[in-house]
Amino acid sequence: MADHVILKNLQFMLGGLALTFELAVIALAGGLLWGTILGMGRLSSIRWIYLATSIYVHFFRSQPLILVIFWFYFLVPILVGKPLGAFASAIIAFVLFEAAYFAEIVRGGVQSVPGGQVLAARASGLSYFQVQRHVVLPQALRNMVPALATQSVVLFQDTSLAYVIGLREFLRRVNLVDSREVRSVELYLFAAAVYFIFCFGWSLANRRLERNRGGNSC
Amino acid sequence: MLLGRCFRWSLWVLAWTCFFGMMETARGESALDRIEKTGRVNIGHREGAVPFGYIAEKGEWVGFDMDLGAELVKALETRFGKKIEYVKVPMNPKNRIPLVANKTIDTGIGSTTITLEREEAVDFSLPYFLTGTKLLVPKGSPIRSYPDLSGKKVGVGSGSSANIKGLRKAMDSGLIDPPCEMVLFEDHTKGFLGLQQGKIDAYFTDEAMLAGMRAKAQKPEEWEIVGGFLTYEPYGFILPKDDSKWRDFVNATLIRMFKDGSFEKIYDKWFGPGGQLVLPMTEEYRIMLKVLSFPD
Amino acid sequence: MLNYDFDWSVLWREPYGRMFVDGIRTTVCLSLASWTIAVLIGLFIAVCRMAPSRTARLLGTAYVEIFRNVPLLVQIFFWYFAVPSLLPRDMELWLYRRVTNLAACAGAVSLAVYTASRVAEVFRSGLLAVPQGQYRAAFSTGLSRAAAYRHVILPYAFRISLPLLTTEFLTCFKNSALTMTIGVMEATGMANYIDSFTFHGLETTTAASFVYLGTSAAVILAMTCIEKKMRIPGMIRRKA
Repeated sequence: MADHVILKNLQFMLGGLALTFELAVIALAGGLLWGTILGMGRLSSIRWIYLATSIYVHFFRSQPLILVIFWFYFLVPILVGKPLGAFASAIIAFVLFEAAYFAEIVRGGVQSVPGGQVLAARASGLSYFQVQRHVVLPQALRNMVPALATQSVVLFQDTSLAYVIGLREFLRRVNLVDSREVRSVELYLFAAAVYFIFCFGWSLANRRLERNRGGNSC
Repeated sequence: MLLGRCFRWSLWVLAWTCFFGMMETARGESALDRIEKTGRVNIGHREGAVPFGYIAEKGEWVGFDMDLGAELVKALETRFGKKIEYVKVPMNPKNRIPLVANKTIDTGIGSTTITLEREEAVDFSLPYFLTGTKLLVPKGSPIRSYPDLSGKKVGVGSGSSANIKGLRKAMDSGLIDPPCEMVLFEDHTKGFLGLQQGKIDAYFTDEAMLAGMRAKAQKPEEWEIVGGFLTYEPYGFILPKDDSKWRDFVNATLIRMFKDGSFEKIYDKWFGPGGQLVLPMTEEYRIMLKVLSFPD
Repeated sequence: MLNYDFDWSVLWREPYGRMFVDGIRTTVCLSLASWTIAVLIGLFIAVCRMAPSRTARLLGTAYVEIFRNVPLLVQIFFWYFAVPSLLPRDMELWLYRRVTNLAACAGAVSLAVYTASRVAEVFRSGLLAVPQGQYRAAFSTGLSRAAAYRHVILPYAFRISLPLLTTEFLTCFKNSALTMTIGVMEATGMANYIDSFTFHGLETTTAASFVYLGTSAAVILAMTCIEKKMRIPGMIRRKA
């Protein structure tokens, strides 16, 4: 019986995973890009850039994501006078929100590169750009990988919040099926299992990658 | 310095994008013009209101409201002489008014009661449906009417502000004394789920909704609708505020449907014998439709 | 230019003013309650993961991995919709009949269990950061394992973990907003709820945003002072 209710609605529910992944991938790409820019801003020696980005990062880190999504779905359209639609507002909310977290990761990564490296590279005659490109960023990126992997799992889970504005991603579909079938135990266990497989698989893969690269040994 | 420059550039780009995004917004444009220009109409529907708008067994989204939406799209196509894309947007009792107010949807067809309070934020079409609030309880429940609710847990949709106000008024006026505990649910289907699990003793909302919830239950005979109408609930399409061009068009379409019998045909499809649930038109409802059949 | 009439009085006008304050209070109570439970469970799990027993380590790891890798929203739905029906029928009915605010309880439990998995990781890294010498010194003075943990290792690890714990508390505070999906009227939910009566969501949501912002700022400020006092001499300071 248990597998019956899941099997019967399997196609409908898994259909939502496509949207879940679409949201996750776009949010990840956008968040990383915007987050890198913000992270650079947080390291800037120009005061107003540093201040502006710091305010941005601290502000978004203090807000619940669900509230940010509401802002872009219900309220920003009133202010701007132009509707965004569920998908666009979810994406904008995700990107702006996750970027604040990525920014801190990027900042930490760049700061983890010893200053001597930059001095040595500069002394060997490389330009500022070359130093960043060949010395600082590769090392920073490498130090950032574990944190990025963790954050991407969080982001993947966060896509389930698109549920609240009616986007029919995976969780919303499970929920819709539950409203009809009244089989909460099986359905939510199933949803949990699906999320678990993806999240845990992804972090396992990352951990293995990390170990092979001889990263942190603990 | 390079970092700073990159950053400054991206800020500029962002600022200009925002600026142009704002500029592009045409103010005071009628939804009707926008539909003609874009060739698409966004209509909000319910996902958990049988038979108005719900997800059927195979995952397809159907309902009475969706058939009315299709008629409206057909009328739009006749008017503009071109294909109009019918974009269905999910809405629930909580977000339906904001979605119309912020123009995410051009109209919301989803068993929405016309209230004076809501009229302050949005406009409504002429009423197209008339029902009233009742209670859904398990068969054989001691609850027969409103006074029996005192001290019990009663489920209500958290966005169904008309229902919440109705129930609260019943408590304040002493009809339900001592008062009942109101348990809020995101949507009626969630409320029925709660009722089935025993989380609440009764669910309070419009009779048409309750009948739909009962019809979709695994064992409909285990549930019954009790109590008289606590309030009357006329439904209308939610329309953006101060857009008389679009509102007139929607009203004209409704009046035409009332007069040429196509409305009754859709009603019978869902509420007539053999429909999703049998809910014959009440005499008041019939009179309301007759009154609204304005001459050409 | 803006097609919206601001009416900030919804924030204090009766009955909405009181409703909003109620919402904020619910947020605070909910997050404090779940935080307390989460710290206790988290501490226990972290110690389990460091224990010599293989089973304890395995259980601890399983707990962390399971609850960390399932979205909180799924967990909230599970606790609210599914768990009661797993109980014996009598107990289930007792829950429904006697417990007012069942949704808030389910929300608090799910939030606690989820946060615990993150707190456990914070404590574990704190425990790992305690220098080996401390363990050896504690054991060599003849303390039992429990006593060594109670008097030497845990206080040490706690002080190391303090900055990350602050972050986790704020995450827990923000995550409490998700309980609105099961009908808990906390600050975010209340902002929405008031909107459905007044259609002044812009004001209420702005107020909710400021509540979160203000709380975060206050907590961070307070914790920075405490961290300064609790800092272990010789350890690297957290960069602000």
